[in-house]
Amino acid sequence: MEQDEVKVWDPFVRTFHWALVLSFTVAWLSGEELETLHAYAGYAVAGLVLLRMAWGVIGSRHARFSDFVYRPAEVRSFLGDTLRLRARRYIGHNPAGGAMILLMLVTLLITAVTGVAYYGIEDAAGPLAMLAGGSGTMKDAMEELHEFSANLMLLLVLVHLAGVLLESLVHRENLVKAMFNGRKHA
Amino acid sequence: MDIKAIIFSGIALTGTAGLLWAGLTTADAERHDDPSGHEQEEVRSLTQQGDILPLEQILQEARQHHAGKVLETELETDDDRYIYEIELLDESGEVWEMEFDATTGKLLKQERED
Repeated sequence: MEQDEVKVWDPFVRTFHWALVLSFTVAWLSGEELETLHAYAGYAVAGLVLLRMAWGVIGSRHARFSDFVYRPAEVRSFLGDTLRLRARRYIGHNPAGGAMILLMLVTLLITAVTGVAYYGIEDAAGPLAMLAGGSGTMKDAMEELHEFSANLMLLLVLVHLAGVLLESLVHRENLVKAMFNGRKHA
Repeated sequence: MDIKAIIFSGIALTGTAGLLWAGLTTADAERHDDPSGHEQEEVRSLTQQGDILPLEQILQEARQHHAGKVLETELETDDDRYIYEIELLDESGEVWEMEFDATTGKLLKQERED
């Protein structure tokens, strides 16, 4: 570690982040064609999200919900400052980043639950196989919601990437690198 | 280093790798089985018993709604009914998903895929 650097992201935060990137990408790409791979990638996403939620309570300082959940007013004012390119720098997640994490976790949970429910009704497979033969309306609703939340997740990913790029430029630091080695300059 | 973080990372890594590996290998196995798959046998015996109409008849019906190339056919059960799901690419390049009651041949639903 260089002298003026501090540890920010613990090993689990980083492992989680990149394992989620991989699982979500696989799930997204296999969605229409490879049903089994899609289901397993979805299980991986769901498992990772649950681990992250537990970690948000028992994890290291900057991994905790209490460290990155801000009041909506603070998120708004941070976004306003960001657009004027004068947002202050946070060592952990900034208010907008924290809000994005919550949005993503919830969106992924909805995607996973509706996916598993659809899989159960349609194919009598997976953890909710007992829903098999459920009503067609229910099945269609699950399918619609699953697709909607998956698309929403893709949109959130794009906004997240734009946010990372913008903050990296404004504060002249490489946030992508920090998510690999866990370190930021002090 | 924090032991908790190592344990959580280990679970995340092995879990993700294991699930993706299982997904890849299982998908492969299914595709190998496909040509003489269990499902086709079931369709054949249901057709012979007269429980469902032959797929050919449904396809003819489907083509009357949308002329084009059939992309995928699937037999499903829904509320104890047998349903044929037909995916079809029409001549203007639109993909249609149609559902037919497999017993009566009645068109239940059709929608354009986006």
